Amino acid sequence: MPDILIVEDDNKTAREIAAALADSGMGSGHAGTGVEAIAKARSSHYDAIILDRMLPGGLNGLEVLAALRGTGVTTPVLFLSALSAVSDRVRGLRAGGDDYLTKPFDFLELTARVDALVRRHAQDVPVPEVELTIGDLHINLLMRTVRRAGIEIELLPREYQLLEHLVRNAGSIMTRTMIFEQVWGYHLDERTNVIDVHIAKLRRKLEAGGGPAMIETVRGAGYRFVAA
Amino acid sequence: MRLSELRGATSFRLALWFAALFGSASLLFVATIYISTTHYLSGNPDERMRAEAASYDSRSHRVTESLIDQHSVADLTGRRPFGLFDPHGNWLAGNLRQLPSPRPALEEFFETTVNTTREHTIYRSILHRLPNGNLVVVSRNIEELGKFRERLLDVTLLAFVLMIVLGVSGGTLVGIASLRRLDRVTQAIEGITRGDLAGRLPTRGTNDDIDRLARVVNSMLDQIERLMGEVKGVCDSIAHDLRTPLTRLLAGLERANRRNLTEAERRAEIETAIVEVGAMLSTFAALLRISEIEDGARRASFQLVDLGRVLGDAVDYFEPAAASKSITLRFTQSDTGPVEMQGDLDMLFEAVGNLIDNAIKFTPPGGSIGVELRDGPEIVVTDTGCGIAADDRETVKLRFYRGGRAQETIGNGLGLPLVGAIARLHGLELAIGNAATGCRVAIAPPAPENHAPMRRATS
Repeated sequence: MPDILIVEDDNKTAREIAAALADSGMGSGHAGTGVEAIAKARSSHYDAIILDRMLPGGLNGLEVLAALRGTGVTTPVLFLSALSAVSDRVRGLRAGGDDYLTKPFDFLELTARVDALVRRHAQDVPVPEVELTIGDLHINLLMRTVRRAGIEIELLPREYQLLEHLVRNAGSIMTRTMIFEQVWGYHLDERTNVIDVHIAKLRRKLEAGGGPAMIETVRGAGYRFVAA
Repeated sequence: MRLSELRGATSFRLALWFAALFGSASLLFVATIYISTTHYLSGNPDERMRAEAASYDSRSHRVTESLIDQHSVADLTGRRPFGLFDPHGNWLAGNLRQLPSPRPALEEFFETTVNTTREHTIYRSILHRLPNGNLVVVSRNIEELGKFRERLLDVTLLAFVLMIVLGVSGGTLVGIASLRRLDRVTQAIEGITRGDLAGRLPTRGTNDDIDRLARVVNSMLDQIERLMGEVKGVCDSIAHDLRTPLTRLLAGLERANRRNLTEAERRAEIETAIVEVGAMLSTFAALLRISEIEDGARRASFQLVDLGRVLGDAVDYFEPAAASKSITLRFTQSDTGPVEMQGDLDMLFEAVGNLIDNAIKFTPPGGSIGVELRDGPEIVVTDTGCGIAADDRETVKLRFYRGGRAQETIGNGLGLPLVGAIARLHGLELAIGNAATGCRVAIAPPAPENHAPMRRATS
């Protein structure tokens, strides 16, 4: 079970986050100040850290992160902040943060992102792959071709990118915002249902051959790719 | 208006200073004229008199005597009395019968006053010794010069007094006029300070300095009034827009709280509540975003953005959504070269995405949407939807406003205000008009005439 360190000065928010993580099958520890966070992150093993940008006392989130990276702690970090200014986001990521979420946030969004961070970190050393296989679906990464049950599926470039991204994160929930950020490359609060239309199109193509559904809709959260 | 106020008035003080400066300059001028005139009038004849006296040096005694007699006969009015005396002072010839006593020094000018019954006359004379020892006196009446001097002095003084009077009274008048005007301006400002935001500073239409200042302040007041109105409108709208979902939320939670509900029904109510709260949160997030963008601090994230790429991505992203409503979505770039600008990649995508999303919402199936990029940079989104009524074109840019048909569709009324804020952050303007068949929304540099008054003011 992945263990997450929550660095958050507001105890109530920390408890809510811990409960949300527990719902997604993750354990957690809590630190209320920057100093405590550094001590805990260095003494015990965590799979990811949720770090509030604003902390009471001497150290803010960015400084805590700098201190951790300076002492060789490579645990992935997700920043939480009430400030959504891009410059702030950029600074957070440049300081070595791995992801960024602004308050108020959706708990499903948070857990999905933490889950993605943990898995990305676990397979940090990328194996040069030529093919992704999941169930009866084969993706040739060099030729950028997709075959399901031996039949080639024609995909537009963006559809191919979307599918590859879903397959690489198979088994875990991808929120609409995460998909939009990672496939289209823009960082904004996308609130239209356009992602759903893209997914629907991809689904139709994947299921044209009569195979079972591979993209699950997770109500209120997003999508999950599963082996049929 | 009190006298102390007048004394303090800039224009009055300026007029006084001017009067003083002009007064001393003209005093200097008149004094110079006075001195040089009197010097000229008295100095030149003196030389002539000295020459006249010396001219007898080369004559014989008889010639001298007859010349002086001739002169005396000609000088009937006694303007220039001459006299010839022997070395003892006895009269020999001329109409000056007596040497003044005590005898004046030789070759020096002296003045004598001769009193008659009618008048007293001042003479200026010179006593000259001829080579044979006789003395000659050459004189002239200088009464007129004295009169001229007195007259000149009188006129000068009168002119000076007149000028001081005119300067002070003129200054007072100008000061009073400008004080009255400033009083009116002050009253207007005090009225505005007390809360009458519709009040404006009085202008005369003369385009003078105070008028220009008043007009700038008035346009500032217009802007403030507009902003205040907008803030009030936003507050009202927030209250209104949140009351409805909160009421629904409360009703839903009360339903969920009833005992006789099945587990599935209860869960459905809770999920509805979650959706409701989510919508409210997103309204808040959009509001916060608009004010954050309006702060302008985000320019820190500006970089060189290829607008063609952003628009292409946005069209590519929304194309399936348009297609699912049988709407054609087309992107054209009229200029061959890339259109680049300093900007925020994400926000520009958001702005264009909002416009396309709106167009999809308001265009009936079978219609078409065009996204066009021109040099300028100008981004134009046209659709074949219902369009926006001319009256609504400005108000749809305001927060929470949903024009005509939009009230029936989903949305929080914050889309166009957000686009407007993003455009302003990039130094562009959101313009809403009508296309041939529907709506035409453009993000473009502001029209030059909007800036004309500013340019006039700075030139």
